[in-house]
Amino acid sequence: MNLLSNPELWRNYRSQLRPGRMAATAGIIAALSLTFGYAFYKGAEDTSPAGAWGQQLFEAAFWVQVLALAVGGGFACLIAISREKEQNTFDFQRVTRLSPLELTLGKLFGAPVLSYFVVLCLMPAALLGAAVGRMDFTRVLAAYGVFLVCTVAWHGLALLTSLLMERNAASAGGLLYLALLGMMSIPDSGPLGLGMMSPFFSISMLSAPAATAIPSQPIVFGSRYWDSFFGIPIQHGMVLVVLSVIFLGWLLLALARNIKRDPSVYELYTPEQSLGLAAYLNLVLVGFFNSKQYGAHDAHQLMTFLNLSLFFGLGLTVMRNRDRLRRRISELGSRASGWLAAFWPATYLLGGFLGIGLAILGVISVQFGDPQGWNLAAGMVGLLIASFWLARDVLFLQWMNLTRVRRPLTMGMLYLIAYYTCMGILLGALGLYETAGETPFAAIFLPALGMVLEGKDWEAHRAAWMLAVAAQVPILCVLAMLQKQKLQELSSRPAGSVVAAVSAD
Amino acid sequence: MIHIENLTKEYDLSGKRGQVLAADRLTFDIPSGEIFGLVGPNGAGKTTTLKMLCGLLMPTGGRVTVNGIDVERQPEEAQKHIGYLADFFSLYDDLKSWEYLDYFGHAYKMDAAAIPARVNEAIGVMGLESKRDAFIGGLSRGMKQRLGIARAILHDPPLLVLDEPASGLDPKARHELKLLIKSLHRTGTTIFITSHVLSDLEEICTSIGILEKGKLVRLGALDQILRGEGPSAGPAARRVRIKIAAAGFALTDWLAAQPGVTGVVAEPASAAGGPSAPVTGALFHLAGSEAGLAELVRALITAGAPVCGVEEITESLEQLFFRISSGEVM
Repeated sequence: MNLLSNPELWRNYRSQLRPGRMAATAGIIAALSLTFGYAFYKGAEDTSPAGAWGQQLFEAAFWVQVLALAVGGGFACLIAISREKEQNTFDFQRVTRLSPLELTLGKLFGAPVLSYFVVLCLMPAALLGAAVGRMDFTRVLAAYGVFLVCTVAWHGLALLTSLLMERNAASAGGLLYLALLGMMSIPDSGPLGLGMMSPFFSISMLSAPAATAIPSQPIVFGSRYWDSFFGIPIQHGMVLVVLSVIFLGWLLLALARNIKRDPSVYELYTPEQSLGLAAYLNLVLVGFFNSKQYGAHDAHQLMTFLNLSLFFGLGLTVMRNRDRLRRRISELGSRASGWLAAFWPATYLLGGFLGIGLAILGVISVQFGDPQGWNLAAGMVGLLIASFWLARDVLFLQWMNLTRVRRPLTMGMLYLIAYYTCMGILLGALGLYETAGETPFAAIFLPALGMVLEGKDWEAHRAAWMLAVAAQVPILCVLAMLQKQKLQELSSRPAGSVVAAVSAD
Repeated sequence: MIHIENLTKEYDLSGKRGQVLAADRLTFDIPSGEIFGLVGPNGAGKTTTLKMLCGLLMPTGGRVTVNGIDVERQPEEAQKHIGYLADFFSLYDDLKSWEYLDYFGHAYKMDAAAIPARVNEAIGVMGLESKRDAFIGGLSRGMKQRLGIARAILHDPPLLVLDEPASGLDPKARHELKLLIKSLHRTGTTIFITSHVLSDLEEICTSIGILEKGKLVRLGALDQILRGEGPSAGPAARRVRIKIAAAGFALTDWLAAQPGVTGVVAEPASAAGGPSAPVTGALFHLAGSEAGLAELVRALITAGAPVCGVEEITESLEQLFFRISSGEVM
């Protein structure tokens, strides 16, 4: 499989880079480069040290390159598949003999080909600036490396969004992409000892003071240039490249699995792959967690919450819709509509979440020993309640996904938000989470309360907390029963008779 | 060539209006070299069936094989054998005609050295020589349709699946399309086609299937179907008119008593005479083969009827389709 002979890449190249358009783009960029170069030169003529204008020119060109490829190229990827679906050209690609990976790679590198060309046109100005400014070429090269690798990963994300986007949702997808890119461009991002995760980091690499040496103590991990992986300081640029490559791998897997499929039966990953992704992301979260800023209780609470969010997302990816279930029922018969199926994906999520949650508990225990305010048993109870919370919400959404309403998942999410908002206000008004003795009862309805359980409260009200855990089981059973009903409904097809069962000859 | 087995597709109707079977356990084979026409009213499930055949839609149940290759399990291998044209489609407006075909030549993994010649050949077959270097955005609807067909036949597939290929074509282009389909048929290509222009289908198809609410209500060779024969044609499908030389023989009563005969309608000697006019003919449906008809006529003569004419009435596809659509027959 040669990327350079990929037909989809060539189609994009032919569509977007006609000689006229290339000449116009190159001409405009050359004119702008000359104008800016001259302006920087004149501006720095008297006051700045020799060659400073070159550095300014390089930085300006690099900024535009990052912007053009990360934002412009990202938008091109965002519409690469959704527009083809809208124009009814995508089916023709799906019936060709291009393998799913070939089609994916053709779009990944083909859709933003104009943005790549803009980057190329800006290279003379950037290189001239770097040379005049006597910039460290190793650093320049590293910045370009980080920029390109990270951008391709972001393009992969945009392409996957494009695949999954409903018709006429390009604007919403664009806003979402921009918002995410913006969020990930904020340095020192929260509880993780990770710096910014967007291609814009490469710009700050150029001005990094002594970026090649570990700064003197105290090191603030998750700052602009250094990350901490299980306490080991690693340059952020390197981390960004490794994480981008692995993330791109996961994105390509999802894209290649689905790009040629019938959209009604998209399935991002197999359950096993989803579990692998959740485990990998947890490893990243735990590895880069800035544990020194937190006590054991807060650290456990935060990591359980992050794990919960991950598995909630995973639950959404493995959810079955009516079409997929019909197919399963047709293939597997009553096995696909039995009680085990009625608990899907709760059983799967419970297993995965509990397994990884226990590993997190182990890491906390090792890192913090036996600190005040937290003990392993309380952590276990919190983990159990969080597991059931996850299972019941995802089971509810799975049931909603089998109902015949428009946008069932969105409706399900709205119902969940309404439920938790109303329940929070109601229980607050009743004063049910004011005292430690009443909180377990409130936790039956608002399991989030169980996640903040402290060691002393657990010791004082063990029976009540056990009841709060046990009460989740009937709730799960009711939701499974509802799903079972839907499975039965899907099993009973409209009656029809075989009218034609003959050969045409 | 095509083997379809228990092919089923269920859809949900929007809101809570229930579910619909767009394909209801369809089972049939289409041998190589056929031009098979699938007809049916809008919403009968024609496009759904075609899309499942091409591997674009996953069936709820059942399977499709093309040249023995399971379309669902080995889609890329199966698609090597299929050329597909959708009913509503767009092309890449910012490509030139030859670039469009060149792209699909590579996408179908044709021998790279053979692609330019094959592109020119397909352009020639579809009469697009003057538009070879034109941007697709500037082509007329009919030209785009031709280019779409050129794409579908580019990799010389043994099976061509065409969904409403004549839509948007002017009468001349439609005629040329028919000629093209016939010429492809002569080269051994199997063609699976849907169209609302039934007269066109009647002209080119060798076999036909009539789809109604996801069920095949007729299937077989075109001439058999039109004569009311065929394995799935149902009872009393052969329409026959018999005339006798003089009134006096109770023709309608005699016919109604015969096995396999239904729907007997008396035909008076002259329309002016009204219902009381003497009966000298009858129109009826007869289940069975030509031999059965011969047997019936022999028995009628033996019974003393002065038979002076026997005519088997062949319907046009359009007439048959309307009768089926109106629920007159199923």
